[in-house]
Amino acid sequence: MVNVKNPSSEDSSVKKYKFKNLAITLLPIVALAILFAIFCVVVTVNDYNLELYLTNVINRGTVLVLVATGAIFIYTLGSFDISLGASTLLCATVGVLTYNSTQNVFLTIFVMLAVGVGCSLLSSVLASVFRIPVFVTTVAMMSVLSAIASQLIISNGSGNGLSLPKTVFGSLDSPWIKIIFIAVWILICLFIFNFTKIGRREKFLGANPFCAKLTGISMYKYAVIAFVMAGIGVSLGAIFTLSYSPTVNTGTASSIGMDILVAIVFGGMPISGGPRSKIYASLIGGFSYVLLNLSLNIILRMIGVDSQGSQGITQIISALFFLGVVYLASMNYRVKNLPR
Amino acid sequence: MKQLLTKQKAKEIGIRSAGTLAIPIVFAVVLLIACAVGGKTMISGVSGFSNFLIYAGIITITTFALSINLGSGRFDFSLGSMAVLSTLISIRITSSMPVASSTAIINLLLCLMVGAILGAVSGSLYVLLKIPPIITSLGVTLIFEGITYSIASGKYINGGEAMAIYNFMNNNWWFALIIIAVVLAVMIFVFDHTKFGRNYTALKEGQKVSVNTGIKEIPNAIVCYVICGTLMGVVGFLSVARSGGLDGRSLSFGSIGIMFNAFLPMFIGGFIGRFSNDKVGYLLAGLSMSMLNSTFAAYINEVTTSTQSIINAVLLVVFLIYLSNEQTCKDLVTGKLFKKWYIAIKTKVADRKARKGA
Amino acid sequence: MKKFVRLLVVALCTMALTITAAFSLTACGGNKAVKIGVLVADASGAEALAFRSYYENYIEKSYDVDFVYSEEIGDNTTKEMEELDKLLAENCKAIISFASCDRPAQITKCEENKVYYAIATGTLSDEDYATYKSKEYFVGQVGPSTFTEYNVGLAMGQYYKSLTGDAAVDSVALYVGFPAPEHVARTAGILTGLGMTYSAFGQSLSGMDIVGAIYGQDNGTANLNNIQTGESGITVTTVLSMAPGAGLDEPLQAMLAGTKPDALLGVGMVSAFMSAQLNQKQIPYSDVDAFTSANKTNFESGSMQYLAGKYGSSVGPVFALVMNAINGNVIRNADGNAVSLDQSYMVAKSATEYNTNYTKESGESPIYSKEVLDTIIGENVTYQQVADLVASK
Repeated sequence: MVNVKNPSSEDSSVKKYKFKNLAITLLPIVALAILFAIFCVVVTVNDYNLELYLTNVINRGTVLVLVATGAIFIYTLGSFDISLGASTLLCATVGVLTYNSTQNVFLTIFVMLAVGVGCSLLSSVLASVFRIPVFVTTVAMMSVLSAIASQLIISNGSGNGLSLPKTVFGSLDSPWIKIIFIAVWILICLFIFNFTKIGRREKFLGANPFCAKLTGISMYKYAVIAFVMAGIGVSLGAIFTLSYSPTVNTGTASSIGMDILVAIVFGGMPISGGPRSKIYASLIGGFSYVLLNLSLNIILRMIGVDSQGSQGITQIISALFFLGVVYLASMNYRVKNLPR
Repeated sequence: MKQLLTKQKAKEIGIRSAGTLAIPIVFAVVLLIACAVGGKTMISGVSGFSNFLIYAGIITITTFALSINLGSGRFDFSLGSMAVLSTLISIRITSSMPVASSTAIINLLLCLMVGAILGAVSGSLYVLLKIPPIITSLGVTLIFEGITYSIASGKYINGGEAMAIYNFMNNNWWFALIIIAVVLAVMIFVFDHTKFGRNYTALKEGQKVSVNTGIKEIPNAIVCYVICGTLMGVVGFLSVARSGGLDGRSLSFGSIGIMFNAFLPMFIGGFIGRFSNDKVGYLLAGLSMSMLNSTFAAYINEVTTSTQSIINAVLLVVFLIYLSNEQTCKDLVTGKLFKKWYIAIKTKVADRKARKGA
Repeated sequence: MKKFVRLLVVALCTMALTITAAFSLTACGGNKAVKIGVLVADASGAEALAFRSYYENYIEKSYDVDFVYSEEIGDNTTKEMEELDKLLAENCKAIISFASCDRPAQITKCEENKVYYAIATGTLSDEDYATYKSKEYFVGQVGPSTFTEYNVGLAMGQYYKSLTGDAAVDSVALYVGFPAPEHVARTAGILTGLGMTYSAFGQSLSGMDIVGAIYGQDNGTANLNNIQTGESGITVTTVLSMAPGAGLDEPLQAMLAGTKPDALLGVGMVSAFMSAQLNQKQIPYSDVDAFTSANKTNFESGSMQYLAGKYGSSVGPVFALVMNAINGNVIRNADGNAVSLDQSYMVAKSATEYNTNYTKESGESPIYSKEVLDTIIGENVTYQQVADLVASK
């Protein structure tokens, strides 16, 4: 008896698979929409100012999204960089020092771009030329960059940090301008990522570096490009950090490096990079993370947990939510063995 | 023939011993000279020695814990949070117990138990969710930090049980030595002389092949996490013994710094391990790092904490550059590299000439 | 899978609706007390907890106000701005600030949002005060100025220099904390009080000049090598700084293991970071902290010898200024500018003195009790009345 497959059942299994894929792709977006709805509800029923709270969401998310979008180029390669927070701090610090000594805004922006890209390139060169594991390089870079920034802040500041006149980047401190900048930066990255060979080759390198190398793709070249993009993201992040709070101190941007990891994964991108990488993951994940934290903070205070106590509980719940979203998003990509 | 064999064996032992001890000896000599130049003492008195041992223990045991999962491709950010949370829970339990003496030892046992439970939780989550370990560890870190912050009310905890641990360890320096020795012995036994250890090594070297040959990966992974948690419980205990307090204020990945201190000793230990045993290598690397830390302490007025961070990071990068380019470095020292370059340039010039001629 | 995703979406939507319904009810039944936002850099220190307890457990019960606390800000300007924005979005009528990363930015933001703003710890620099004193919504500042901080250190140093007989000190250790402005000012005061000078830029400096020297030359942390013994002959044996796990542990152990100094003089956080060790080794010590039960124990059964401290209700006058402003009486000084009042510390040099000061303040009858505050809260209260009351305490 020959076992013949029923074409209609095959069709339905393909449909099922496609639906699963679509559902998983849409899951982060649905989660963002639900979080946004919950946020609006809790703000409104508390009689808080929704407009100001939404501005707060944009303020909290802007730097994270800008830096994370650039960082996606690194993550796509299957590498990751936890020194981006320290790079942002150093970039902002050098920016303040440059402006205070030259009073030249264009030079300040140029120097900030140079420092952002320079820090990133240094990591890239150490990793590529000297063949050091990227993660370890970035751990070392994180220590070095934050130590240099701290030295600069303490020795040149007044004790409360280093300040820049608010007027220098103050005009950028508007929600609409921030939205426009995020949109432009994401569109540029989207174009490079989805419509040029850079994005395609980076995904290929992330999925199978060995195979990519055999086809003549230079890991070195694309690692440099990825780190340059991340460096530009860092510089933009530093500029918007200064536009929002023109004083830099040792705690500035301290959690960005790790928040990027959470945001990218929250946005539905695998940490291992490769073909499933998406530029918009930073946007969705970054704002989901901010909305989740703010909503939980308000809800916990409403049920009587004080602001001090709510910090710990907010973190626990958002971590559980994070694990839940990642679990659901990775359902279609289960492997037999434990993932590494 | 026998004499030749003995000579060869002696030579081998000599090379192994030299390779094993070279780095710690270089560290000791350089740092002792640095101290002598500035008229400082690296380790002064019994208390200084006790502190040296405690710090060496912290670094060595963190390195053990880091290397277990990292060696298997499982990145674990939650090590620091496990150390703090296990010690905090242990201190909270002993504070409410009607025990008047020897609370330090009870605390150590509790730290081990709570650490093991936390490790089991972390490992079970990884196995159940089947998502990449780095992501699981991000979530677990946030959860453990959040619990710590909630229990400690976001405070730095000083005195009480923390002080009991501090006093005990500073009055009994040998206890730190015993802890290190026991941990080393257990690690060597478990990973080098048991079925679990052999399975661990097999899974580390080839996951698919090992699973296909019947090795059960899930129990092995959970046990690895339990061991990591237990080790971090010891690290938490030693950290309290070092400062007499416990920081319950870490949120948003503030606890991961503990882990970063173990990267350099892990690579140094791995290098030393080529000549003897990687666990012994981690111990020697931990002792070297503790010597460096004691020297920094002696120069506290001259070397700021920022400078210390930079020195540590530069050492890490320089050592990794060496490790990743060992042959090139050897060629550089022996002059072979220049010879290679010379030949390469000569060949290129000859090629060009040939092409021009053609 | 399809089912599961559907279920998930339904569950999340139901959760959102339930939350909406539940909170709508909560919001309907909620009180309409005046909301005052409190911006805190440190939420867990003894001093911060004492202030918070006074506001939440005493003032909230005595007046129709609701204090909304920010999350702990630490040393992060961006977080400071984010938390301030959050308090403004929650419709706070005024902000009391205990955070000092960027005060000019805080004042500007409150001015833009037409929300009253007051500083409860420390004061603005003279330059910043001159710039912002005329701002309409800047109510004022009540707290120790940099000069007061310097004087706190000076008095501490002079006290130890004046000790004679068995109590006399020949050698001291210093705990200089972090490179924070108040810590550096207190350090400068202590050194000057002990009769010492500080070597910087080729000169021997004393007084407030030491502040600039520590920042300009030594990155905000006094360097032992630059401390010069004066005529008193008292020497500094050790300079400790930073926090446990970040540069404090080994030098502290070395000090405890070596020849004991006659005393340890601290600029803050001594009781949090090392009181247990110092009590055990019976090394007399001083600190700038708060009058708390922990420090009572340190004085009575430990070796704490000197404390310059605040008390929970010392933040009462700033609340009165804010309350008056919300009620329409924005108090201005004689020049028509925002109020700036210097507030000093209470000092205890013995357990008896400590207990005398400590009993002045209790949860139910604080120094700035409702009866006292009522004398400076009202439509016709003047600047002089507030200034006189603060000066009298």
